[in-house]
Amino acid sequence: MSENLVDIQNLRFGWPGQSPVLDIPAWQVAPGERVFLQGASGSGKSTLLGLLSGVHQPVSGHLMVDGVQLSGLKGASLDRFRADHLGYIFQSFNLLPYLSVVENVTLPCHFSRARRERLKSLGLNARREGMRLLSALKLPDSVFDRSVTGLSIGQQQRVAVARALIGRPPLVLADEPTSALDAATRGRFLELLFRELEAAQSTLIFVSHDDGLRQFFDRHDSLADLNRIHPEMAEEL
Amino acid sequence: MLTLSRLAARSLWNRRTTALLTLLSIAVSVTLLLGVERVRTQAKLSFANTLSGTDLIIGARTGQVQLLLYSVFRLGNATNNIRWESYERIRDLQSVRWTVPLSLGDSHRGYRVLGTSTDYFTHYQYAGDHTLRFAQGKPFAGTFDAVLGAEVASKLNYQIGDEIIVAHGAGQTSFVRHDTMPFTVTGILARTGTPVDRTVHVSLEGIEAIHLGWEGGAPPRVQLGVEDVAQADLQPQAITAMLVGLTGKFQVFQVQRWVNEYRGEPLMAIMPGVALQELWGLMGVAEKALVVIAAFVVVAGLLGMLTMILSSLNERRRELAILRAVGARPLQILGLMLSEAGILSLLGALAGLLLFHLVLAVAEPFALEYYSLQLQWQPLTLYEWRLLGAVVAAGVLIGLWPSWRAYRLSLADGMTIRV
Repeated sequence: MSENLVDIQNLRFGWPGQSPVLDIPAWQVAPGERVFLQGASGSGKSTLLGLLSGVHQPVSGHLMVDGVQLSGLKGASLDRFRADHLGYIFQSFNLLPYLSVVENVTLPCHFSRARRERLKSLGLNARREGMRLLSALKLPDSVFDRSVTGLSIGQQQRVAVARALIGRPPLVLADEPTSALDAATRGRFLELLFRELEAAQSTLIFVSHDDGLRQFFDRHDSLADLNRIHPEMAEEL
Repeated sequence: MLTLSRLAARSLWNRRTTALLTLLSIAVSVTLLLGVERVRTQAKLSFANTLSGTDLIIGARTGQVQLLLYSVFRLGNATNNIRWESYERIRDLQSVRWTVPLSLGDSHRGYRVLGTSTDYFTHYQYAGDHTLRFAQGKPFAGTFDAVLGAEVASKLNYQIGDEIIVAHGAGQTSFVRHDTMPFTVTGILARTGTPVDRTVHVSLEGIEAIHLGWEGGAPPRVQLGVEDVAQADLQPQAITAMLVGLTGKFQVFQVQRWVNEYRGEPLMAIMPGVALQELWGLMGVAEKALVVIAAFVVVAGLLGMLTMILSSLNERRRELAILRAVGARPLQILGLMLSEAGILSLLGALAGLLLFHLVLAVAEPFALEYYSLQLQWQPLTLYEWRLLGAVVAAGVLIGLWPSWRAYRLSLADGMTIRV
C-alpha cells in the first residue's frame, strides 16, 4: 500500500476513437501537500481532474486516490468515492440559487454518509460545521440563512470552498477557482483556503494556467513536464 | 437535513411561475374529472330514484322504454289509451293492492298536466321509500283543483289560490286553451328531484271536464263553461297509463303475464326497475363519452407537466452537474426529478380536489334549480379516491421520462458544467 494520497503510474487516457491525450509515467502527492499544477489551456488539466475525481476512466495504468484504486471502478462505486473522498471547487462558483448559504454548504453531507460520520466523530453536525466554516472564511453571520444570489463574487467563491471542505474530505480539487477574483482578493482567498485545509487536514491539488499564483504553494508541478504527450499533439475538447 | 423531495420542492419553488401554472392545469383537469364523475353518478342515482315502490306500469302496447318515458318522465306521447273498464278489471284483481290512474295530454305553459286520483299522493314513491309531501296546501278535492310540482310553482311563481288555465296538447305554446275552465291551486308539493316537480296534477274528473264536447281531438263548436260541467257525467272513459302496487313480489310476473295476455285490448305491463335500466343503458354512450373526455383532459394536464419538466431540463443541466459534483449519484438525480413530478401531480390533485368542492358548493343550488340534479356534498367515494390516486400515479409515471433523460444527461455530463 502506498503512503501517498495520490499515486499515478503509467496512466494513459484518450477519448474513444482518438489519439491519447494523457500519458503520465509517474506522479505522487503526499497527504497534506498543496500542489500547484500549472498547465496552459488545452494541456489536459480538466481531463486529469476528471480522472482524479472518477468522472473519466483511464485507458490503462495505475490510479490510486486515498487508498482507492480508481481504474476499474464502476459507476456507483465511483459516485460513492467522489461523495466521500473529494471536495471540488469549480472555476465558476456553482451554488444552487434556491438554497440558502448554509444549505449550499451542507449539501455534500446529504449525499455522503462518510462525511456525516467524520463530522459525528468530531462531535459536530452538518449545520454547525457549515456555519463554523463560513465564519472561518469571513462570511458575515447575517447572510447564512439568506439566498446565495445576494452574495458578491468573492463571497460566493468562499461559500463554494466551505462546501468543498465540509465533512473534511481527504482530497480537495480546485479548478481555476480564482479566475473570477481580482489580484487583491485572490491572495486573501488562498490564505483562508489554506488555513481551512490545515484544519481539515486535507490535501489540495490546485489547477491553474496562471503562473502568478505559484508563490503561494510549497510544491509546483507543470503538466507539460508530467505528460509525455505534448500539448500540441493533443486537442482537448 | 435536506431530503430529495425537499430539494425538489425548493427547486420547483425557484421556478414557481411555471410550476404554479402547471399545477393549475393539473388541478383544473382533476376538477373536471371529479365533476364529470360526480354528475354522472348523481344523475344515474337520481334517475334510478325517479320511481320506486311501484311494481308494474301498465299502458297501451308499445316499447317499454317509451311507456316509461311518457308515464314517468312525461316525455313524448302515448300511442294509445287504456279503456276505463280495463283499468277497473286490473284494479279489481286479487293480487293488486293499489292502482294509480294517469291521464296525460294537456299542458300548462310547457309543464305537463297529469290527471290522476288522490291515491297518487299516497302511493307514488321515489328515492327508496320517500312519498310525496305537501310544502303547502292539500290534495285536490274538487273538479277544478290543481296541485303543482315544486318547480312549476317556483318557476311560474304560483301561490295557493292562484288560477291557472290548461292548454290542450303538450307544446310550450298551444293555440287551443281551455280558457273557460280555470283551475285553482290548492296544493304545492315539496321538491323531489323527479319529474313530479315539473307536473301540474289535477283530478281525472278535471281532465274530463275540460274535454266535454270534444270529439276526435277537435274542440266543441260552442265553448262550454264551468256551469255546463255541473250537470255533466265526468266518469272518465279512458286513461293513459297506470301505476300498480301488488300484494307481493311473487305476483309481479303473474300479473304482468295476465296484462300482456289480456284480450280486451292490447296492453303491456313493465317493471319500472328493468325499464329504467334499459333507458339508462341508452344514455350509456353519452355517459362514457363524458368520462373519456374528462380522462383526456387529465392526460392533457399531465402532458403539460411533462412539457414543463422536459423543457426545464436544459436550463437545469448546470444544477444537475452541481448536484453531481457534491456527490449526488445519477440514481438520486432520477429520484429528484421523479419527486418533482410526484410533488406537482400530488399538489395538482389536491388543489383539484379543493377546487372541485368549491365548484360543487357554488353549483349545487343551480344544478338543483335548473337541472333537478342533486349535487349534495358528500365525502369522496372510494372510486373517486382511486381516480385521484390514478392521476398522481400517472403523473409520476409520466415523470419517468424526463427523469430518465436527466439521469442520462447527468451520466454524460458528469460534473462538467455545460451551457
